Amino acid sequence: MSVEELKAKSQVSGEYHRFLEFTLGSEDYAIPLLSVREVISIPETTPIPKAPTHFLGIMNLRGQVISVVDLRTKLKIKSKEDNAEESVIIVDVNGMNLGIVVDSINKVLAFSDDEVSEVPEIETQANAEYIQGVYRKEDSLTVLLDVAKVLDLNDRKLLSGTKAAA
Amino acid sequence: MEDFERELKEDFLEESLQLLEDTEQSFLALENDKESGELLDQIFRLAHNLKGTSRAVGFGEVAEFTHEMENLILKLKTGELEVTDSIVTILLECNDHITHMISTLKDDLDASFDSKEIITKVIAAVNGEAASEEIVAQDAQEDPLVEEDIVEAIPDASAFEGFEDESEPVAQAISDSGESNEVEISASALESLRELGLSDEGQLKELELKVAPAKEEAEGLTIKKGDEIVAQEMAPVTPIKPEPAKAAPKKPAASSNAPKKKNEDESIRVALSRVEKLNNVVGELVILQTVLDQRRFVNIQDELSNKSIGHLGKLSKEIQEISMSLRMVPLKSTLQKMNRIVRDTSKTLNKKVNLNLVGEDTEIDKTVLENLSDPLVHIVRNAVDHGLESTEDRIRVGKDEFGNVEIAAFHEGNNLVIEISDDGGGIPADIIRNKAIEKGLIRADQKISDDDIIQYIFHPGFSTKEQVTEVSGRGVGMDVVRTNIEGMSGDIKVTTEMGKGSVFKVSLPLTMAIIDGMIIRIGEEKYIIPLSQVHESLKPTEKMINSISGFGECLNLRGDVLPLFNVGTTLKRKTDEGNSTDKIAVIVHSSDFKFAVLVDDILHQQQVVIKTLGEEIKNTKGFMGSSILGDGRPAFILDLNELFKGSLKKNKNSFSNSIARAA
Repeated sequence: MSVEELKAKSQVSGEYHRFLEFTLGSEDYAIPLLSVREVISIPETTPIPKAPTHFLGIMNLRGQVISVVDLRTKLKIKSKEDNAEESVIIVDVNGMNLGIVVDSINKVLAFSDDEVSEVPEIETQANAEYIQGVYRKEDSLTVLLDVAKVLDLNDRKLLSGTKAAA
Repeated sequence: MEDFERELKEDFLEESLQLLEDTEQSFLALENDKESGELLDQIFRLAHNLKGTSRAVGFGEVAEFTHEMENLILKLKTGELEVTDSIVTILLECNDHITHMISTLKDDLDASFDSKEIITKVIAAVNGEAASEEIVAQDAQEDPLVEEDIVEAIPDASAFEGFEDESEPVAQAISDSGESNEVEISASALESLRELGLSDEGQLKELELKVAPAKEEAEGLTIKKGDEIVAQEMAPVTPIKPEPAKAAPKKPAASSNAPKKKNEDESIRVALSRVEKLNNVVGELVILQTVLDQRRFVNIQDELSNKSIGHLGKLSKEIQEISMSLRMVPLKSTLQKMNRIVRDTSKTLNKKVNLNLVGEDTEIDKTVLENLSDPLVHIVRNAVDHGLESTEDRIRVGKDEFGNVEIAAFHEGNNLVIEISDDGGGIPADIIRNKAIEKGLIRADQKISDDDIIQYIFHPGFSTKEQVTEVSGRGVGMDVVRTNIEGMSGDIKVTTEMGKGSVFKVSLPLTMAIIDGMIIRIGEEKYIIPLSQVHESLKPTEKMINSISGFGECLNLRGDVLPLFNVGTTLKRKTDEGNSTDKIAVIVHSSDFKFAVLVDDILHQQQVVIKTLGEEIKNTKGFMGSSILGDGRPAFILDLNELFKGSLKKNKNSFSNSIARAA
């Protein structure tokens, strides 16, 4: 599935995949570098009424109003305490800009296909559909996320649900 | 006047092509959903619109044809005819026919058409006869007929082909003299030629290639008299110059191109999107400046910095004013369109009417203006048709036989107001009341003031004129007017005085990019309410608030009982402690109901730049958009009408009933 997709993509783009690695709680995640627009510190946000809890609010990005989403709430990960490294990654998801709150930004990963494994099949795993693959390096594992799947599809449904209710 | 008329016609052709695209989509949708009354209403409005405007600019044939089509649609709408596939086919054929007419007219404003066959077909359909094969066959012959018209309309293209060969010697002669400015003229001539669409495109390109380098050199003044190379480049181009002059009289559409060229230095065409971008950035600039300004003398002690911030403030205000004014255009052309409408309408109705235009130079945002034309046409036509009495009646009541219609435009605060007044008989409130009762909009025993009752003429399908005239009276006009105007976050009100006339007052925001907002507080959060929705605000006393079990609270405002909602509770936000009397009530007059909402506090009023919300939250009901406040934080702009529409609908019937009972 997604590993094949990745492999197909790498044929086009060259040898290596480039991902931006960040931490949520104590776990490492990564998203494709090309979808990242910029990284900023935690902005002031205005809460969005009637939105799902992981919608932190809207923020002012140099005149553009964009939504900020807390991936930790979404993925049910406990956030670090007293964290000065907390940042927001502005990503481009299918043409729209979103801010994602993460605990810290680690580094840019560059790896080839052999270093990516399929998601282990665990039936009860709720998050599996968001996961593109797993990158392993020595002892550590980094989960490659599909941001569009984490947020977009489900939440649009959720929000149109609120619309119907309202 | 001739130039002006042509401009009108050309505008109309542009607009109607868009309209036709819409109708086509609606027809296609209708085929899939034959029961949809909403679609039929929409189609009917579109057709009605098309008919009205085409008549107004003087395309009688298009209007006549559309009238037939409208008849058919009306039958479908009233249910006398059933929507079948064959009907839809006919409708689509009609659509094609109009599109065909419009696009032909675009090339030749004087083209005429043969619509007999298709009209026969439409009439047959109106009378309930199925379209027979025969008619279809006839229809097939109809197209070539029109086709012939077009060919005739295009000036003889062969003249051009011949011209090139002949031109060689002439060209040689001119090139010898080395007059470099000739090239520039021919460049524009070339443009006209292209617009005429006469010449073979490839040939034109070739000519253009030759013109371009020569022109550049001419501008750079590097050309020398008698320079052989440049002269040769010019050679094949120059002789074409006289040709457009010949073609122009034949093709009125083209002649307007020439004078436009001369004005190139005075005005340029800029894409609206660019201006919008500029406005956005300037908006940001102003916000940043405000942030700096707030720190002036407090956090910043340096005198030069403080002074500079002051200057920056002045400059950014000025820049903002300029950038906003880029979108502003005078109302003139739109108001002048009304001349024609009044003239034609009054002719059809045999009335004598004077039209008086006031404030033609008043400026308004381009996007608002574009949407203004249609509703204005409706109101003006209604004023002439329904507002003014017939000449005999006027003489009988001792008025001047000439009816007066006045359109006055002026600025009022941050709104543009257009008042359309007539000195006719006025709107009889009791007739409207009876009609409203008959239609079930109000109950017979409901107490509504005359002023309020006449606003019911804006309800869908509300026409008190019994017979359907060509001009108006089908009851589609006024609700379209209101929908259009409310779509621009404007407002329309009518006042009337029996025997003296009526005034339609249209208020529109000067721009759709910036609105006046009331900044309110709910708990710790700030929200913006468009000032246009706020009718009044007050601190309710204990006496005014009543609790009706099952409906929640309501507010007794000078005898009016309004449902009272709490914005914070509806949005599920944390509000201040305390009961309703500690808060502030904002009275909202929505189009069909009044209600009151409670907010924790009103902070201030300011103009806010509307920012659209991202896709992910765009669909959430109740938000118009967002804006960035002076402190740099975004805030939501609430649409109270939409936010409480659901609760109102639920409560409306039972609520007003219970109120009536209580009263």
